[in-house]
Amino acid sequence: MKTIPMPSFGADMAEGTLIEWQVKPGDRLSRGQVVAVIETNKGAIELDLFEEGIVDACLLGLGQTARVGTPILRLRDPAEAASATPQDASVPVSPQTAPAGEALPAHAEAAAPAPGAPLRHAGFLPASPAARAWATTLGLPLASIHGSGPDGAILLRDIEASQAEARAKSAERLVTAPASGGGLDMAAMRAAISATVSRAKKEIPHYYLSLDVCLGAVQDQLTAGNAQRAVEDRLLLAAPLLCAIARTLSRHPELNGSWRDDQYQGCQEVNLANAISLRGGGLLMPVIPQAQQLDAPGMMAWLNRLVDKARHGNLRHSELNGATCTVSNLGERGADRLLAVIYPPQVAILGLGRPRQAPWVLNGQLTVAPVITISLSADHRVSDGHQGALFLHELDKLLQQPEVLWTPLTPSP
Amino acid sequence: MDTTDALTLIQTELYRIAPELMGGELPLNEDLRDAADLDSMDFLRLVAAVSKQSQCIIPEADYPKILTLQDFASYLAQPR
Repeated sequence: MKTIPMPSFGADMAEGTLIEWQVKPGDRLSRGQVVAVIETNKGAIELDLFEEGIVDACLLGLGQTARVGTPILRLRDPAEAASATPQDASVPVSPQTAPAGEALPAHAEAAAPAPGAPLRHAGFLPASPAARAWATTLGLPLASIHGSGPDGAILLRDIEASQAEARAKSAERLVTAPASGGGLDMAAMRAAISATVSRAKKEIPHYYLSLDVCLGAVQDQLTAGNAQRAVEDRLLLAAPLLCAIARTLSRHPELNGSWRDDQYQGCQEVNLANAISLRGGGLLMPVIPQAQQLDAPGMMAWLNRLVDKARHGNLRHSELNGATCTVSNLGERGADRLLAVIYPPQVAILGLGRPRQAPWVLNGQLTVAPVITISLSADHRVSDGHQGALFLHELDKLLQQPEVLWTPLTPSP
Repeated sequence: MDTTDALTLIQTELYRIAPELMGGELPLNEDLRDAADLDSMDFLRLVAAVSKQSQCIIPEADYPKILTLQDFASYLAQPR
């Protein structure tokens, strides 16, 4: 027997609300299977598991909220029991038809879902059970709501959105307050952020280095490339920047890896987390796996994909985990320099300031050029300022010959 | 397309990206990126969506001409 706890999808997540079970007692898990959909301050996120086992019991009822770390699912070893009878997926299963001996806890029983099954019925509107229940409470016909979930399924937040739209319509000309961040406790979210950054600042002896980098060459390459591309295929500056960072990190395992139990494990493979702040609050750090192999268009495709997933609430747990280093990007407006706090167990984080036009000396001549300040916060237990400075120097050199960033790297043998 | 149609089109696409702005009033002459808190990805998506709906190809070099709602609408409305 083992239990699966409410996972953390980021430093600012304190609790999650269960909106859908996609497994039921008796189901045998396959690797990477999505078992539940959890609503957080970042929207709905799918929990995928890479565990072997048979579902013994779902410990959290639909619509219930649990703190990170609270057990939500109990699994038993496949060898322990062979009593699992797979259900016919086309028949909705009521809790009463669950095999005897597969008892659910009382609070989960009343709302036990038939995962996946209802979607296949003609004329049946796919909706998560929690959304369905809430719509009934509010007296909203499901047909009036646009579903943003898988297969157009209606989720809790779609009802929220439809409510917000209705409010906006009836109050045209009135300035309404922006919708809150998913209805979750903002104080709890602050507390979760606080716990992570406090731990980082207490345990990790940070050192900080910054370098102003001229982006003239990258910008030229980008502009020339984008002129050939349709509007929706254009690249953002972030794409070549993240490529260059990932490639340089792969040669600096002292900045790319994880510190666990007083041991450091450096990596050559770069799983790069890209911090995205969400509209309405919350921070999401989806991971771009093997980022060192991507070229700029490939990186842009990843960024587009992650933004879409973040917006439509189908990011998976595994897509928010396993980062070896993080980049935090302030975007086009705001501050010139960002000295970020390292996200444990990682040992470095890059901060990208606002790209700006600035005086620049080129071949002894004063000119105006696009400039960005790239900052490195790194863990002094693992690396020294000298190594950090070498990293920034190599990154700068790579950004001065950006053609190579438009060519994918083949994995080294 | 006249300026009013263009404005409606831009606002419709903007609300798709930032639904929380619906029902509020957006200033016509303020940089949209500030007024609507659009990051570069949001802005690129707005331009792509408007470009698709209006069949108007907007080169990157013209971005400075479409930074406010008013300018964006006038840009789409101009004869070409």
